[in-house]
Amino acid sequence: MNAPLVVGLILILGMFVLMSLGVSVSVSIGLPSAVALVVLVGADKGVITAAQKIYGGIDSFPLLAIPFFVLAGTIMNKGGIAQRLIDLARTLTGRMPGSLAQTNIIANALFGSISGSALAGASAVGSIMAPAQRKEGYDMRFAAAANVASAPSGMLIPPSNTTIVYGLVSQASIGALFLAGYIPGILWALTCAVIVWWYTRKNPALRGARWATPKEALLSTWRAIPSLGLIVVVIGGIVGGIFTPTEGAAIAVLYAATLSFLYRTIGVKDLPKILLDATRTSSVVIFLIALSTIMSYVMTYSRIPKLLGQWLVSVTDSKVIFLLIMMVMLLIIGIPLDATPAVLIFTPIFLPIAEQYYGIHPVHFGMMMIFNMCIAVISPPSAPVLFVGARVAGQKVETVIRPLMPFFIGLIIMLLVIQFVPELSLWLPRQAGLIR
Amino acid sequence: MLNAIEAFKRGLDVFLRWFCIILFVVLVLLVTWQVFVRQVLPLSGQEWTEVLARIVFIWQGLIGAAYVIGEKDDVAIDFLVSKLPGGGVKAMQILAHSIVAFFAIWVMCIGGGRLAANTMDDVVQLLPVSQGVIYMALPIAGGLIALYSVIHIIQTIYKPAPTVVDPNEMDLTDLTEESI
Amino acid sequence: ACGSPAGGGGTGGGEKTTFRLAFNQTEAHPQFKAAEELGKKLEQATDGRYTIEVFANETLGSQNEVVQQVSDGTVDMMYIGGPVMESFNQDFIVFNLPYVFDSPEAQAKVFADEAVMGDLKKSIEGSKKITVLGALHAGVRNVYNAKKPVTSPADLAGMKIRVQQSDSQVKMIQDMGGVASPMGQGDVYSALQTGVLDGAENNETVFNALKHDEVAKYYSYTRHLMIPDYLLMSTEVLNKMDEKDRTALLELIPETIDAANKGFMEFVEESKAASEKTGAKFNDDVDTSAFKAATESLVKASINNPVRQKLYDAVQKANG
Ligand code: NA
Ligand code: NA
Repeated sequence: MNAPLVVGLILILGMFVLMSLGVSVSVSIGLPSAVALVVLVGADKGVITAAQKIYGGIDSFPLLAIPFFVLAGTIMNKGGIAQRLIDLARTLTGRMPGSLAQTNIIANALFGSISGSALAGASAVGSIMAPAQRKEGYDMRFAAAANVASAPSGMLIPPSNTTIVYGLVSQASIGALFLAGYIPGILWALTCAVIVWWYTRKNPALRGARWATPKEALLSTWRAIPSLGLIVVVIGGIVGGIFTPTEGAAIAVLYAATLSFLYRTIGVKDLPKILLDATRTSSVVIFLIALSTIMSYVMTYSRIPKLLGQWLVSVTDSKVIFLLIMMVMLLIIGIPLDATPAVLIFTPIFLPIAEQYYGIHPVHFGMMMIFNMCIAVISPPSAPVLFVGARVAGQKVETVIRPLMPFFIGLIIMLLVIQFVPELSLWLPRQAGLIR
Repeated sequence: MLNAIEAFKRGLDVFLRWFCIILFVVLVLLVTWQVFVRQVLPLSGQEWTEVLARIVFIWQGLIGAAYVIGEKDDVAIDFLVSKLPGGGVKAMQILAHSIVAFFAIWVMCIGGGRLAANTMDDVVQLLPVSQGVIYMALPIAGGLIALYSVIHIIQTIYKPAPTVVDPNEMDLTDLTEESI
Repeated sequence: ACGSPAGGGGTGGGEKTTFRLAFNQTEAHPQFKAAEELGKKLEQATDGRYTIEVFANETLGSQNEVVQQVSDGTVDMMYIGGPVMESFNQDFIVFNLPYVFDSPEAQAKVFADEAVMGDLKKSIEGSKKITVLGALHAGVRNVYNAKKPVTSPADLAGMKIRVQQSDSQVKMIQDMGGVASPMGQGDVYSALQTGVLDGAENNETVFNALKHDEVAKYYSYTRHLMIPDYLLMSTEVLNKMDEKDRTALLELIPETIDAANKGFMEFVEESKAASEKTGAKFNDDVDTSAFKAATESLVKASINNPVRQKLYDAVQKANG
């Protein structure tokens, strides 16, 4: 039997058997990958390489944003900073159906646009919104699903590291790609908003009693100014070139902690518990990313991506079928892989086919690829964003999967729209004269 | 015997808690210091901050993961297992803990240990430690994960079959309340 | 072992072995093309017993990771940047110092001289099981920034310049008048865009390929570094080849390096033209002797043992 097939079988069977035995998701991915590596290169080299990939997978400075934003979210929550922001959102959204969930979606788009990390958004925004939603009687499984589903929009809305990586591999202009990301990113958030509206429109409990008076609006704005300051400081610092987004995450921690000390809502005594709480959430994700790297490596090493590309060229010469198969492939690949490594591995394989056979513009192709991977990072069973979103809402992962389905379907329909209407991606960069 | 093991686990928990908490604080301070030195007070000789922050992050993340596994708080999809009769749940849980222990010993301790040994003489730029010392995070975290898994197995054997909690009944505040 | 698709096994019995060669840049790079060409020629020379597959775009991992796998023999070959080699044998620093080589020709002359390079190339066979097949020209590094053309060390005052995470490069930029900011390459584009960094330093091909020409328009020919790349191979894998096949491979190396180096020169011109098209400004009115004088103490301090002195002297001789 040939090696790629053996590897593929070990990975898929191993993963599903271990998961159904109740083994943690990270080890369910890591162990079959290590076994496959041992089959390929022998026991000694296999385990050393697997160990090295665990380390190498998280040896990246931008990943530090994960623990920092998790921590900032936890502090904002405990320190009452979040509460003031939520009060403001409540005042402004008044009788809008599902106003807290809608606030969550907008906050994720804003937050994600800065951090470029779906994980950071799901964690920071989710941990702020969840207690309020619980108090208002939301079905927390649905609330968690709305948070998880809306979190990746910031990976499309610039700036975004995933987009930069695509730009480097595809040789497309990063400036053009950034501009191209606005419309798909906003469409992503709108899709989630429509679904939330649909599910909450008949539930009077999930909206405020009335619209706020101007005086109330002013008062809650005033009370929220120091909290809004956090956003101003972090965005301002990043845009103004004072710190990188990763460093901005650490600054957000300091700002939130300082403000909470001033409000006297948090004392030094509370810090260990807060830090431990954040450690729990971020370590689970970091361990998953680390162990998934073994799988990503063993797939590349056994040439699976290349073979998939060759197979794809051989089975069809229809553009529609090519795009559909690629979409399904990327969704499956997204089971173990994070967006950035997937873009790195698959762009050189799929882009030449798309360009040469079907005349797809590289900027447009980038948008469909990133949009596709954004769906993959929230799709179970291995979805760091889903884990974090479920955790901050106090839900088990499997209970969030069902309420996530309508979002999933909505986003896949939107992906098809992005794929088959190139203007949605190309119009803005064309207007700016960045591409022809 | 069981009491002694649980006392040992409590001690280890406390130690790891403080380890993770302190590294987390160090991490925030390191990155803030990096911004401060670049933007406010240009001191020379501070170029090691990013390299060190990355290493502290990895140690904190891996040891933190071991601690989380010790708390049985790692993400697993256990709705299939929970449908089994009581004795079956127990057997499956023991099997799942054994698989995690096997992975930790085989890949993280043996693989990671040999990786560390192979790179003991490799220089890390900007820091006075060798690559091998840094890779020691793998066997250490692996050892802790294996140790916790064995403790879980012993506890599972000696304890009554667990009841499954409906996650909607969970109180978030309970999750975060514990003595430190 | 491990080169063959089935992996694990040896290389006997008419089986075809495909070496994996890891590369951290794109398929447009001349080193990629040279490696592909090497694979084709190797296949011919060994009657189809050996060939090479190049894994571009860092898909097998960062250079720091992959070099460990070459050491283990899981990955057969790789291109690696000079600074990483210092982790295994610090004598490699000689070629990574500012203003050591006067010209690419002098560099090529040193690298082709087995009397100079022989021991160095074999120096990590024992400790890391890695053989250095050859050293390649990897461009001349120059400073670029978002503010103004640089002509003298004074122009760099207060400018935050990204360097690789390396002791000697931190010191070098400080000596040249700038503020050294070591940063992983992944963050550099947006840091240049927002102004966290004022500039960076690299050759024209990276300046263009990483799109830094979009966000840092002033490229000034300081010509401060000519850091080579190396083509590495797992010693174990190399020794496992039949002697005839091994000789065939080794004989193909010089022409491979030659092709990569020639291609690199063309690549530099293409990259420069492409960057100019995006609006980047190249200036060559730089007082390189001032920069060279500023970095002399770093060079002196680093040439601190007989091995390095010998290498350094050989370079001086080649400079003529
Ligand atoms: Na973004
Ligand atoms: Na997924």
